[in-house]
Amino acid sequence: MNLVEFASVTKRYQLGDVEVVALNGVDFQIQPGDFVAITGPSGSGKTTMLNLIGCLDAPSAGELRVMGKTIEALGEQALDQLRSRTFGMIFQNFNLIPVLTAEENVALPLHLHNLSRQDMRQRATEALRAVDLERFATFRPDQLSGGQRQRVAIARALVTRPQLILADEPTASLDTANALSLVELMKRLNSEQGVTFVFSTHDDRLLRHVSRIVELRDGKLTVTHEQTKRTEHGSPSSQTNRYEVM
Amino acid sequence: MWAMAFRNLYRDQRRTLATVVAVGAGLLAVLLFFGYIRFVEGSLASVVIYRDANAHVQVYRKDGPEQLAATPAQYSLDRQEQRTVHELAQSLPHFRRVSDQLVGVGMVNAGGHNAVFLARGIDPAFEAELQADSRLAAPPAPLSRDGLLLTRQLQDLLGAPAKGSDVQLFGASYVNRLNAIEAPLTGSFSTGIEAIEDKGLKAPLTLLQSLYDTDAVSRVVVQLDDRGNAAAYRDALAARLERQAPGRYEVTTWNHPQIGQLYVSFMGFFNMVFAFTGTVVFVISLTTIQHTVAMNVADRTREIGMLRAMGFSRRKIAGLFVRESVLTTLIAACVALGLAYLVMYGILLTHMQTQLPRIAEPVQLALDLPLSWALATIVVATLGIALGATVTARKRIGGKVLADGKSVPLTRLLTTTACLVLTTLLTIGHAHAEDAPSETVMRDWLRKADLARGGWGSYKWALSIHTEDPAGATTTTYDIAVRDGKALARTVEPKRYQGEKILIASRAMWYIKPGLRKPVSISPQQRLVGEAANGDIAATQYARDYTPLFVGSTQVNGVDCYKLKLNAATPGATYEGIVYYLDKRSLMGVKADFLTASGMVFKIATFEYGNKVKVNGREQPFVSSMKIVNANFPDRYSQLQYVQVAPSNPPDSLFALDTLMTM
Repeated sequence: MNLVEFASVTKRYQLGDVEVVALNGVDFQIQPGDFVAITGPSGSGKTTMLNLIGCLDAPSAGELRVMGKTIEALGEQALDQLRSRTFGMIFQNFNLIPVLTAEENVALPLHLHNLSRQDMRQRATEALRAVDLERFATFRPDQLSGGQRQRVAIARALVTRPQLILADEPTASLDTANALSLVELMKRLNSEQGVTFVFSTHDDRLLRHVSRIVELRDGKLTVTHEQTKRTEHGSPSSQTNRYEVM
Repeated sequence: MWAMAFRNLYRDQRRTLATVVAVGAGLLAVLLFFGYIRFVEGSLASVVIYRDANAHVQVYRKDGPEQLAATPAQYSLDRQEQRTVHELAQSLPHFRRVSDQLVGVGMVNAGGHNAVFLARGIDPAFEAELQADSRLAAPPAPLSRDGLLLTRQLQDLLGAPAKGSDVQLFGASYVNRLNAIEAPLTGSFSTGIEAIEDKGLKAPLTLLQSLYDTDAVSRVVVQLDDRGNAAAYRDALAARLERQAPGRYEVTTWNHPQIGQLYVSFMGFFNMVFAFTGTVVFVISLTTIQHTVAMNVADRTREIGMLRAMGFSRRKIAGLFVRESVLTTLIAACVALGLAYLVMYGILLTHMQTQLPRIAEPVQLALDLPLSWALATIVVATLGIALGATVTARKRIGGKVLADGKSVPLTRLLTTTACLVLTTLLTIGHAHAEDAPSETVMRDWLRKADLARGGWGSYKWALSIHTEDPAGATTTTYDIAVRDGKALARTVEPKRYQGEKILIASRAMWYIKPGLRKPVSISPQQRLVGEAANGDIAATQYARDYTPLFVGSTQVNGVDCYKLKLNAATPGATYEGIVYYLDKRSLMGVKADFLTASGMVFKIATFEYGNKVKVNGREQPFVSSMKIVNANFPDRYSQLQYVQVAPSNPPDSLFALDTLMTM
């Protein structure tokens, strides 16, 4: 079963008197275990697509199914539950709560999972261990570097053991070393834990490591690259399957 | 989440501090004001119960509280009823002591000065015991067994009579007769009520009973061990009295509107002010909190978006902001509570004095703020603020923003109302004014009308006044002698009142009876005692005492009449105003509406002219009957019959004050 399935999805916004078509009849699927990058110029619809996948928004036309469920048919409560059980989110600016420690930030999504305080703490510690930040558990975000903050954000996305992690420009705020480290981490989690990653990015450093690249232009899905293997250092393979969608 | 909320408050310390200061100041103001109101409440209750000697429970005749002032005799308790109430009152729990009281009005005279008094007749021993149980800082001066206490203002009105000097009390007895007594002034007291501070008089019960010529009392009062038991005691006593004599008695407590007027009116006022102030403070606090929530939401949109993306519902996210608001309010409440108690004890230490509303003497300020009440206030405020914060947070975080309604702006509403009022006023037609005669002509009419009622010339006649009143009927007969506006009335019947005389001379009136050492000067107000004013008995000269205004023409019982409005032109006039109807043909008064100072009709007189007298050789009609009806209680009236009217030539000495005692 596809994790996510776009069927002729269109998304329009009304900006004053002007109607903006952010996505225009997009057909697209995400399978479990995918490591997908959504790319394209600014305003091409990347964030809109991530918002739709994350059920933060609803299509204006077409059908969007997440875990086999048509999201237009779901109520707000069901959507909240779907988000909390299915997705983990990583943001460009990390979006950590500044008044909480790293461990508390990681444990935050667990408040929706009816766990005991001890269980929450244990799960948060495990997540921090997975991103090699266990010893920074008591640090506040302002005491961490950019790369460490993004790792905390990843740990927070992982802590609920989601099937799909959505990341919006996850390396945009990081230097090269941290960006590469982050990519390695995500790839490791993808390969070892089978976590599906979908992220929007312009970053070539990241694009070299993905299994699929989805390119958007003016709201239309123009190109996908299927990368069957990757080089040792993350450069793209020569064997690509390129085709025009629209 | 509570920890996160708390840390968020700490994160933005300046905003939190500003909010805490605003909310805390509001709560502090409410708590202090609340403490002050409770202090005023307790003080006013003590004044009503102890200083005004109302005690805790009062027993009247049915409808007594409302009707006693108008018809004291009908609504008083006789000896048997007093005994019954005493016995039943003593048989109930929480009883401490019982006593009888009499209230009354009249005039007090000292050194030639007159003033109105409102008297309370109290058993001096009961008052002393009641005061001993009071916690009032300044208990009133004790009442002696045979003397009078007057307020200082009343003493000033009477020319500051010396302590020990005799003052005269003058009033209408329970059988609607004039009566007067003399008693020494033994001291001063305060009514505690500014409005009547210049009329207050306190007398021993027996002395006041002698003025009103009765052994009845206005009420029986019962002191209890605690004011908290008053309502239950009242119900129990009322039930027993009802079993004894159904529909006969009415039992009240000290805070009944007719008893504790001061308490009820001011507590109503204070409660309203407190409610208003509390509402204003609450709205300000709520608005401050809502503003803070709105700013927090605006500043943390990224955080809210992140939480939504994680699956947090809008309600859960709003809950975070509500927690922050509740914590802010609780911090503010703790600060306010601490400061309130600091201020409270600070005031106690400084022995600050304050003036209670309408209470003449200052009292020590002592805010009364029980912790349970203070906590309840804070809980209510916190809940209200939490609710307001919830609404704001939910709205800001994703609820639909209500579109602006198409309401009518206040200015437009006011303008429309003003236009409507103006238009209405402009469309009201002007009354058509009849051509008015000159004042000289009208005075001439009045002089002729006065002549027909004995206001001018020299006459004598016998006057019988029959008064009907729910308390009973009385008939009194006078011999009247008049000469050019002076008059002397001597009581003929009943025989026990023989020797009473009323002298009217030079716009003054005097009363004397056997037992009084000197005549009592009767002021214009005293002339209104009873349905038939003493001033109506004889020598009424409207042409001299009033200024006429022409109102128009009308009919009275089919008779064409001029309608004049007479306004008192001299302080000696009996009435503030009269609407006088003169027969157009005979120019004799047909009807008179007597007016109060506020212009209300309170008595209506009708005249008949069946007598004849000769004036300058010509026979003239003379008044034979005058009926004066109470405008508010038509079953109360006086019928004056004028008989044996004849010209006479009494000597001037008959109308001299010096000879009044010796006649």
